[in-house]
Amino acid sequence: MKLHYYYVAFMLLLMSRPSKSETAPVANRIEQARGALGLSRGELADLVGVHYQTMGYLERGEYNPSLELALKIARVLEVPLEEIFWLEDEMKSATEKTGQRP
Amino acid sequence: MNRKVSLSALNEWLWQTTSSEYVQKDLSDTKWNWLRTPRGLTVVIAVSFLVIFVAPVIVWFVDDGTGFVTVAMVAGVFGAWFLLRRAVRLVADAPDDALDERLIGIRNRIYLSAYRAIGGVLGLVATALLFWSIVEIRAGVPAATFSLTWPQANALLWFVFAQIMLMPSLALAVGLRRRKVQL
Repeated sequence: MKLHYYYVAFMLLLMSRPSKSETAPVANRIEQARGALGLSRGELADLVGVHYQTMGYLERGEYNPSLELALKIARVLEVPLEEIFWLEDEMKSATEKTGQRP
Repeated sequence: MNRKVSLSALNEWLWQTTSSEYVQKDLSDTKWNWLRTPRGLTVVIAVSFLVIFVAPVIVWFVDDGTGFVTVAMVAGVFGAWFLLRRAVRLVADAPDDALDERLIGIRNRIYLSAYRAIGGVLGLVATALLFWSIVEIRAGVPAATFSLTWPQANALLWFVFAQIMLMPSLALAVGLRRRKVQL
């Protein structure tokens, strides 16, 4: 029984590790671009084929999309990919150099 | 259709315990939201652990003669299975076409955790059996002699079935409870 206890604690510890995709530093401007086109979150989600909740996670930067999904979003929002998604460290270094967003 | 394809199709059929329509419905369901709160998830996880780890031990040692304890354990397995699936919105059992890439990623990672959990538990059982057989051999008893009563056979079988049925959804429920995963 004691062994089981330690085993369960160990498994919970393993499961608690964040995955790479959860920690990758990618920022985005989906919400602003969507707002500019007058699209709701649900409409954009339907247009790119993801669930409504997933679009929320994307907009908050809590989920990094695959390249395919990123390209679909850029196409629907009618902006180049790099204007929607960028690496946060890119932004930091650009801000440090020029004081502006990349 | 060659042998490999038909075995793959059979395996897929065995694992297909829900459909895209049901998953879509559950992903926007609010009726079972009380089960998806931290307290609700804690209760479901606790019930599942009881069903997987405690119930087989009780069935193993309690021979009530009527089979009621065994039937109660089997009912518990299916009850926990039902509640877990509601709590995780069927995501752990969902087919690819019902999920988007984020949810597919979550489901696939959960199966890695579930495999490790099942492998760990069965590994512990196998190790215990190995030590038991060594002790038996050293005591002069043939290790191959292993008799089970009907309740004990049920306890063993449902211990394995419960893990196979519950572990993917249980791993996801634990992830949700610890806020490491969000659906």
